[in-house]
Amino acid sequence: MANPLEQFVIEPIVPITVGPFDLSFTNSSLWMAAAVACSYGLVMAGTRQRALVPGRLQALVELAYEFVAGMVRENAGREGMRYFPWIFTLFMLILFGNLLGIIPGAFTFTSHIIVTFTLALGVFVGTTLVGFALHGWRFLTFFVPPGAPKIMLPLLVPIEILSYCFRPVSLSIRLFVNMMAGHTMLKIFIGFAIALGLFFGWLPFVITVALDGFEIVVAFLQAYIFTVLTCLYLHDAIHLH
Amino acid sequence: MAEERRPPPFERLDREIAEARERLAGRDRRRVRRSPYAEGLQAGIEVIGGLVGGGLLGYGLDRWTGLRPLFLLLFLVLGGAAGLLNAYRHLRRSGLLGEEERGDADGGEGPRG
Repeated sequence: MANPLEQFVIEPIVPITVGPFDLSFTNSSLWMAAAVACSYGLVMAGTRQRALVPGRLQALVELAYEFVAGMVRENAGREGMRYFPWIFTLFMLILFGNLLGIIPGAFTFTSHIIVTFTLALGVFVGTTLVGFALHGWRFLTFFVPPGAPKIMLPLLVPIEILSYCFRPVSLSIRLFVNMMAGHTMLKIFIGFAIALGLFFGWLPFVITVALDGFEIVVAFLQAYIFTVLTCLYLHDAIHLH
Repeated sequence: MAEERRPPPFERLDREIAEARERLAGRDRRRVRRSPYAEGLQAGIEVIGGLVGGGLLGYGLDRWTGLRPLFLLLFLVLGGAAGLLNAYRHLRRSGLLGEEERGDADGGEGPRG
């Protein structure tokens, strides 16, 4: 049976080293580029017609736009729409990363914690900068829980700051765990199907088909959760409490 | 309707759109509903995230200052607390902690930190 974790191995396609850094163009980079190309291509192709009555492709793009815009409005408030391009880009990148990863033989870059953590770190730094830009030093009052007794503050403020700092950690863990677990499970079941041969192999194969459908749901759901949480963090940065 | 007039004037449509917008604005802070299972899993991830983050931070500080195991212990405790805080907030936001809590969370976030 093939190693179910083999699919997560990073392989350089074009080896590049700059000084002490390994900047190779890897299979991960390839699929990231593919995700960018797909989302860009989809939006570009969908908006080219600019028909009043949208065609299929335009309807799809408008659906995606409305979905993300509604999400930003509901979770970050109206002021959050200023940051819509950022949220939309994030959503499309993760969504396509997840969806393209389901194609057999493809590499799922969202299954690597370093990728998801970098995305989450971008969110973290971004929302913090937004908070400081909008409120200046008053943003720091975010870490002082209102109504708490003064004596407790030396203990509460560090916990608040830590809890703020761990947001990108939980944000990235969730996405990477979901993608990695799902893909490992797929590989294990399809391995069973091959190992058991034609006679019994159909059973794990049927499960794989069901799991594949489930993975598509997870791909959407995880992209959605990642961006919803981004919106909530943005809300905190804009409104402070 | 008694007075059947010409085609319905756009004023009515405009008013209806305005009303719908109003309603939408009222729902501005509406929370996403997911299954309790997903919410619980999420809370668990928050706790683990806090512990992992605190552990890594403490370990890093120990390596840096050479005061092993002072910071590791300190930040494991603080990180765990922060993780629990995040989990609690998450659950409260999701509305799984009972109705009166939900009303509180919906109305201007309550005593959120």
